[in-house]
Amino acid sequence: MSKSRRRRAAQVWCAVTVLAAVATGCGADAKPATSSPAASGILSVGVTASLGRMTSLNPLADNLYGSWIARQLIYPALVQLNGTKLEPSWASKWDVSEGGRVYTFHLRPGAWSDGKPLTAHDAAWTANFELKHASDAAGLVSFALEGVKSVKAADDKTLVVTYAEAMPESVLTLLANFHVLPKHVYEPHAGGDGSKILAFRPEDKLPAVSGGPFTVTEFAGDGTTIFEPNKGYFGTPPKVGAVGLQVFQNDEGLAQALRAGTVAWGYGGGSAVAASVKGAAGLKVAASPSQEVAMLNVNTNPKKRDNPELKQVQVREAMSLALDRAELVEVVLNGYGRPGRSVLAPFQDEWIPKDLRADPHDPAKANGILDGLGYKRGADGIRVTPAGDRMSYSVVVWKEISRVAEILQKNLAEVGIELKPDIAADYTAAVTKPDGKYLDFDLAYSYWTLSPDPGGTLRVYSCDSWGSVNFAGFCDKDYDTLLDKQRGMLDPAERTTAVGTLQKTLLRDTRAVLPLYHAETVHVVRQDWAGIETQRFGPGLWTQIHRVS
Amino acid sequence: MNRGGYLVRRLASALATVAAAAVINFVLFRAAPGDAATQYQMCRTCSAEFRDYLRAELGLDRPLLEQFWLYVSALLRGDLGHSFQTRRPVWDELAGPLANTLPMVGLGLAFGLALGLVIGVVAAWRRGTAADWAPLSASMFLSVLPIQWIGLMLLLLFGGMLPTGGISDPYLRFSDPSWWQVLGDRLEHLALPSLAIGLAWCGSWALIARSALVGALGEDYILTARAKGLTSWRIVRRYALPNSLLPITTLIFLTFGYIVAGSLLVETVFSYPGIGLALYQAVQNRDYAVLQGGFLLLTAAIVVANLLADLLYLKLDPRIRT
Repeated sequence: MSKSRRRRAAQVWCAVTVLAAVATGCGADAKPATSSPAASGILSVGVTASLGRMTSLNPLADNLYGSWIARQLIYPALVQLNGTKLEPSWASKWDVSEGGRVYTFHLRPGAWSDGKPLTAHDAAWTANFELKHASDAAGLVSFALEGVKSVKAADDKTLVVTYAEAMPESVLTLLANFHVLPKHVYEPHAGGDGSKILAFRPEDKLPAVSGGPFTVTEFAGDGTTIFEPNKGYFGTPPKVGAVGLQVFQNDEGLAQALRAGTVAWGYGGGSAVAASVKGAAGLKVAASPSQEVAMLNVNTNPKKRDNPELKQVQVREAMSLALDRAELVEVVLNGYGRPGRSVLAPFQDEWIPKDLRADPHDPAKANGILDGLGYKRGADGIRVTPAGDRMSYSVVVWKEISRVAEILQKNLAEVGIELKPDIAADYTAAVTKPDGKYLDFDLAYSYWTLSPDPGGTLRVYSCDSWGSVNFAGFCDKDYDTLLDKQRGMLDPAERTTAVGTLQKTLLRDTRAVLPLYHAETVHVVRQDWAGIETQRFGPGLWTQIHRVS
Repeated sequence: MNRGGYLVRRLASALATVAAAAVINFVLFRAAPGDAATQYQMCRTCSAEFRDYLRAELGLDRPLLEQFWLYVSALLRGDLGHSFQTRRPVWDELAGPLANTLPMVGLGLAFGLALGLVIGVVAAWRRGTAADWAPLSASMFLSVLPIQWIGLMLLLLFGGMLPTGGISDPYLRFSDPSWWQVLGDRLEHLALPSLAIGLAWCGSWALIARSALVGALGEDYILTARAKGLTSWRIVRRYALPNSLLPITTLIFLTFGYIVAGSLLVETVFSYPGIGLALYQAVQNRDYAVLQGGFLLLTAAIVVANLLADLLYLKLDPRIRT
């Protein structure tokens, strides 16, 4: 080829490339209808990475929320939830015997997606593995079996769960998070001390073996994971051809995809996405009662080495009165939430004493309390203790909550208390240092998404939780005694009273915990989809969703 | 200096840089507090004994020197290790994202270069007029804006027309698409991130192009061409532009490496599963093995790009050979 022909060829190639790029850009809105999820009966679900990313379908190796969503679709659970209420799932019914100690679940016939029968033996194997390895390989999921002593398969369709002591039926809500794994797939990886199972990646061989309404045919923990119906599913078959769970790295990307219609459901999109799509045609925002709580924990360890004034309940009360919870709800949650009232969340309202209200924003009263205690303001406006120490405290936070930290700083500065955010790389280590003794930290932010039964959340502040999830260094024998006792109370009224007492211990008597806000669970849904009941969790939610014409 | 000597010196320098980066990678990630066994996701509630077990399995309980030796010897075999999080080979974890990033960067580079060259050439050709300062100022303004801001604006402007996340339509396969549909879909998903890269970099390239061309237009041979009565566009196209391409060519190579390394922000805005996003997730998971491998790859990308620029200079500029 001559020099000029080569040049000409290059020019033509360049022109084609540029034209192709331009053409695809200009023609983007003319997307083939066949690829549209709405047209093909594919439910496209969008989640933000902070909520919905996952690293594996193996529940023992991944406790991210995205993995939990996936589990609902692919692994059977005995029961499922509608708000805080129990509903049958794989178990069509259950009997209670021995005064509430033994629960017998009657299971529906079903099959794993590879054709193997789904039996009670799968559930028994999963439960016994998780009980045996509760503090190691199954540490992420064993909470669902709290209080369980043994699990046995009476036959293929009958599972007997025996608790160590009598349990109220509400404790069974925890079992909604007990996901049964295919024994024939997981057992070969569970030998020895069980730890090798953490390295098992079911997504390496797709379609993943599933017993839920769907199976995974494509996996991308930070991209789009595709779920297609499992023909052996024991329950009502899904009404959609497939579900795609797409992870967006930021709120605006998800909001724009919802506007464009490429995503039908912004799952737990949050207040920022809701605010962004406000007024957009064809979209509706559905907010359900909060299942979450954000809290400021105060180090209550009597052996704490410095800032002894933090051990005074009045100081903690003044701090609580200084906090503007309404501003937190407005700024941080775009109004989609409630001021922090308890360590339990609004969806557990039946467990929260009626007279337990969120502390008002009353800086005048807070200043009065601190003045009364003799803490005078220094030249810089920060109060000083009689010992000459400034009331300046560090608060352990993670970087994503900088806006929360700014508001807390501002609020407390109004009453003469300085707050210094300490962004922790290893949160537990930062709070419990040194060596799990809680001798150093002052305050710590914590955020929990809660299970319906109140026991789990209240146990966070037990002596047993020292060194792990107890971010207040709180340890009180009376509290622990009542905590253990309430678990076995079969009379709902009696248990409600006990649970209320435990909350008041944390929130009023000791003020070890200052609740900040409860974020509502905000979903954004395209109006041409129906059956999305945002308070439901489990297969019952995913199989009912359908497109309306 | 002879050509061979120059080549050897440049290669040795490149290898030394990669080796230094490998050492720094190893030290840096272990200096950070916490490790894969303490991070939230993997072991939030497990016992201290089990954490010790995990450390042992991941090799984190061994003396640092031993860890370093294992790391270096594996590197020499081309083994980047295994991800702490997924237990897959690091190369398998990074190859896919890297393959996703390269076309995005390539298209962004092509777009930015085309726009930058046009602006730079017109600015030099019409020096001192509105055609000089207006587009140049606009492109310079874009180049000082954070790339994630440009990306976010594009996302808001074109969100309804072009895809705002991912690398392809995940549901396209259900419609049995043709090869052209797949290609078109890929280009649609590439459009916004590439445009963001192009807009963010076109200002620098416009400025370099203008500067090089203005220099070339001041040469004696241009005066001769003018004296011969050639049109000014012909002078620019045939004589000045070819002679001003040397610094631009070098800049392309140098920039390529930096764009790949800096792709994180664009990939985060557009949820684009590239190397930047993969490393961001590795940071979140304290996955040292992936971080080490990823940063080494990025360092190598920059070093290789620099090396290619040097070699190209050797080819294009006869003065270096003498």
